[in-house]
Amino acid sequence: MNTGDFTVIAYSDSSYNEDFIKGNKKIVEGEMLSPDDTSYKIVISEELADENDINIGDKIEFKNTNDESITYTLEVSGIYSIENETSDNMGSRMMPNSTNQIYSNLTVLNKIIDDDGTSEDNFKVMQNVTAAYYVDYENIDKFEEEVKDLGISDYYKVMTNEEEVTSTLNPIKNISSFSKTFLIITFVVGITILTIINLFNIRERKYEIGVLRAIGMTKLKITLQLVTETVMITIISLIVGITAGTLLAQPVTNYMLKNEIENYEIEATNMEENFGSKEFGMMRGPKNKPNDMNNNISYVDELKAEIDSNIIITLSFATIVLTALSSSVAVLYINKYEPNKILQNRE
Amino acid sequence: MSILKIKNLNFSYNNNKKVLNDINIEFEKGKIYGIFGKSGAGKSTLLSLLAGLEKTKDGDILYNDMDVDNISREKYRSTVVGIIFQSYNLLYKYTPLENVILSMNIAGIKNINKKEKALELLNKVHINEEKANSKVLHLSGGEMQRVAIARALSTSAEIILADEPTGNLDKANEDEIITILKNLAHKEDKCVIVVSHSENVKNMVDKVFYLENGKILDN
Ligand SMILES: Nc1ncnc2c1ncn2[C@@H]1O[C@H](COP(=O)(O)OP(=O)(O)O)[C@@H](O)[C@H]1O
Ligand SMILES: [Mg+2]
Repeated sequence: MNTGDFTVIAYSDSSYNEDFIKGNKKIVEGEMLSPDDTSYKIVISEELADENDINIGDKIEFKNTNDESITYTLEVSGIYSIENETSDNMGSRMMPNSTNQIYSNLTVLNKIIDDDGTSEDNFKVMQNVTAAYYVDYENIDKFEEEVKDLGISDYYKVMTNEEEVTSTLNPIKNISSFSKTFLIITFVVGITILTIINLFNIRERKYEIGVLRAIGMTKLKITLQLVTETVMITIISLIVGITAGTLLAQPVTNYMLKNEIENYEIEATNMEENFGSKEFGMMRGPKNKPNDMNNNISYVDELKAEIDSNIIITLSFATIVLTALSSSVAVLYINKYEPNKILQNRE
Repeated sequence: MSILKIKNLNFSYNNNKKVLNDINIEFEKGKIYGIFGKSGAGKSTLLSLLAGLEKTKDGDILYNDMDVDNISREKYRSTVVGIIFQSYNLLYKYTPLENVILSMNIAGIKNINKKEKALELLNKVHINEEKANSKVLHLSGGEMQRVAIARALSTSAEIILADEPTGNLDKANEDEIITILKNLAHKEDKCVIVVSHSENVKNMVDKVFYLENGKILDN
């Protein structure tokens, strides 16, 4: 029997168990204890298990370092591997290396504390007092202050499910930022391509203008014809663009939102693997909270994509500016140069 | 009676170097004229002035004794003269037929079946209906130049101006083009002026002018 310094860790709520949530530690055999568990069970590290040849279901005897006459017999229900060594867990300074961290439940931990007779200051005991308050989202910051003012001891931590509420919007926030980036990229690429096409087009246009002028078409007629042509193309492009946009906006939005939500759900699945139990995979955000009837966050999964008149006006305006810009170059050629010059320049 | 007169014409581009120096020529209907000279002699400049593509500054060009400067530039280019360029200058996005009809539209021709007239003109320069309806880009150089001639004739212009019309063509095509131009003068009473430096062309025209350093040489 190994008698090193062990740290016994227990959580009243799985959401405090950051090492497992972040994936620094991971169950490789058996499963993590549920916070509600009251049996004398523990979860130990892979190294500890290997070194002492311990398997799931084995019962181990521990001695209390303060009073060696006190022993505890605990059954191993899970074995974890250390994926990433972290320096700090729960802010404790007296933490030995994480190989010697033993996870158990509050029943076991309280028993050890009682036997020790040590001051509670040495331990961080996390237990939840559950009471439900509904606070307006805007007043959420003031809520803690108000509760403290009412005389609750500092011993209690006041928590809100703000994160949980806002996290339901995470997929939408992601899509929003993605859309902005995409819009900027589209615009830059679009303008570049249009400019290049126009540069080639102007060469062709210059020749056409030269020929038309040489065989006697008036400047006004050429200008009108050119502008009419450009305006027609612009209108057709706008109609096609807006129609396609309207038809595709909702399906694309739905698809992107579905993808985002799936990503979040994959994260939950990873957690399920780290804890070695399905129960934990369902959990995201602190447990035992007022609205915790079900542990599964249901993300906002409906986003209405609308193309309103504002967007159409902006779009049309941008198109008109680009059209005017490109046709004004051609109009410049029509008015500035005599046909001889335009045709000569070509050869 | 001369249809076109050049009187005391001097010309220089913006750099002030004299390109044309005191030119005096009279052109008549029913004749084909050749203007010859070395490269840079000023032949194209002279033809551009006759075509109304360049404006006179010193001296006059008279059409039926009327100063060309008093006629609207566009009207003059679209109805008085028909221009044929060395590089054809057809619009490639259209068919030969459409090129000819476009020219008729610009000239404001009405009250006739333009398509029929255009096909007739194209037929006269040996472009059949199938070719007339294909893309210009699919034609050979000789064919393109014949389309350009049909275009020049489409507005019933009395004066046909051609700047090196056979410059890009082989001998057989050159003969064909010059024969067409000659017939226009002799059979249809047009005034045809051809700029060239081909000996072959020299032998086919009615009258030859030599241009050297901007001056007409007496021959
Ligand atoms: N647009 C122009 N601007 C200035 N100089 C020109 C222009 N076109 C022609 N020239 C000059 O005028 C002279 C005559 O040119 P051009 O009439 O084209 O001769 P040709 O047709 O006989 O070869 C040349 O010296 C040429 O460099
Ligand atoms: Mg020339």
